[in-house]
Amino acid sequence: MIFKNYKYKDNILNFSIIEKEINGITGKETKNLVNIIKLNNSVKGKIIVNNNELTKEEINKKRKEIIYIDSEINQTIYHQTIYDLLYSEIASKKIQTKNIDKKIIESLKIVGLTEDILVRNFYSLSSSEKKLIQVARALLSNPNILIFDEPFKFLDMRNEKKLIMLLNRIKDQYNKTIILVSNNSNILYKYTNHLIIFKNNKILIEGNTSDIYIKIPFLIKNRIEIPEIVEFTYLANKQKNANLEYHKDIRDIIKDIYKHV
Amino acid sequence: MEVILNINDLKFYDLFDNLSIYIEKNKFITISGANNCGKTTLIRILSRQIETQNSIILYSKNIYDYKIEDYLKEVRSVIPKEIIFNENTLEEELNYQSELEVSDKNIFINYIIKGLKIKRMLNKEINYLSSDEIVLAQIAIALVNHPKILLLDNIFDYLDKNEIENLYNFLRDYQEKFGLTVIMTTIDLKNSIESDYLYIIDSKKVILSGEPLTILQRDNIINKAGLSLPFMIDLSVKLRDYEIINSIYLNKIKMVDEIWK
Repeated sequence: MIFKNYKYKDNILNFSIIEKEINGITGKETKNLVNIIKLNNSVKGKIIVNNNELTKEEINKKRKEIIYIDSEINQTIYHQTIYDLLYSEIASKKIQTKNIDKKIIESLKIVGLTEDILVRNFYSLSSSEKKLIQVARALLSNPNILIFDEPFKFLDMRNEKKLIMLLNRIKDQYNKTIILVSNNSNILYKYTNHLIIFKNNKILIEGNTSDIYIKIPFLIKNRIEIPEIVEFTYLANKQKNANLEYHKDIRDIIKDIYKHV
Repeated sequence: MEVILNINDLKFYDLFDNLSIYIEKNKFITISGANNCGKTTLIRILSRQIETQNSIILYSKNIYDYKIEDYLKEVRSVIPKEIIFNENTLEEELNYQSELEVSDKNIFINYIIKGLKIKRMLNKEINYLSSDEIVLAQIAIALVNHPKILLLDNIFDYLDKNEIENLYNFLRDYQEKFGLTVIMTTIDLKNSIESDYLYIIDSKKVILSGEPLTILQRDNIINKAGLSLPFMIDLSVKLRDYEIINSIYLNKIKMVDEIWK
């Protein structure tokens, strides 16, 4: 999905969301960019999908295919049962289904949960279960683009790995586009393929995540957080001509250091 | 060494079995563990939101033998997202909560406002603050009556790097001036490095305890508990295993200098 000549405040934005990939968004005031991607307000530019510019009607249709999953669920539903929570999502969005219960159980199954959880209330769930319920709820409306705000924020290492495996599975098996909005450069470097940095209401840079994160002087100049593994590699190469490659996994950099010392 | 709070062989449903924690006066204590290990439940027990059959000793008395109003003078807790405030502005709420004499009150509240850098939030209704601001507001409110123990549940997930650094500096200054024991829970072990003592909970009990930089070198046990090590400690421990370096480095430049000396 390409956003072309999009007027935003005093700027013109041009950027792309790569379909069926994991995209990352970082920077300042990223909520504003997310609102543009959600096609929330009146669209002030061209939206291009598969080389075709979308008409107003198509934009209205596209809007319904995009869902935003907040880092935390609203407190007011904390005491609802999971069944009520998922049921009300179907009712409020007028999701067409012949068998509501079957649909609910199917979406739980995709995220790896069973129907036992339906009688519990949201408040009683662990952080990882809460996150999975948020994903299951989002999947009920069969969106094509899922935008996650800081999805790994409350998760330990094991649950972080489980969640990224789930997101990859949703992307590959169900052909979904994933967008991770985060201020954590380590997470974005590890898990995204395409990155957009939004700052001062402008697209500062966009492209392949690994390529962007090794533009260290540029990132420093623009006060963008650098992934720790990249920063270390950069320092070793710059100060000691260590000749290390940029890796994503700590075990790979250890092997590389071992080779060069 | 003066033990201020003593949790001995705590049993609580299927969450804790023989969990023992001793809290020294005027120290920063971090309690960490994977999702669902009972960190928040422990904070709720210590803030007397839920009861246990065990005795937990504050000074020399069981916490359940204190009148609740007396207990709250000693121990205050901050659990994000669990309070819905009334319509007071932060300034009104701080003044309302404070039981100090008017002259002392103003000086003390101003000290907290300056230390936490929350002046910009004073005239705003607390419910309308952003999630990081609400956490800082909750901390200010918790401190306004000079508690001896401050319980902070998973607050770091709501704050950015600068806010965390400033909070640490402020709490250290507060501790020096007025005395304060801080018990904080986190899933991210990076947040434990600045504390005086670290407890790691897994399988219903404490599996590691001690000075953070010593404990964090036990990478196998920590990973098995579902937690990841902070990047520089992980890198140090692994490079030490390869006999490339001899000690733990938190500073990347110093580590680079040591490897390529």
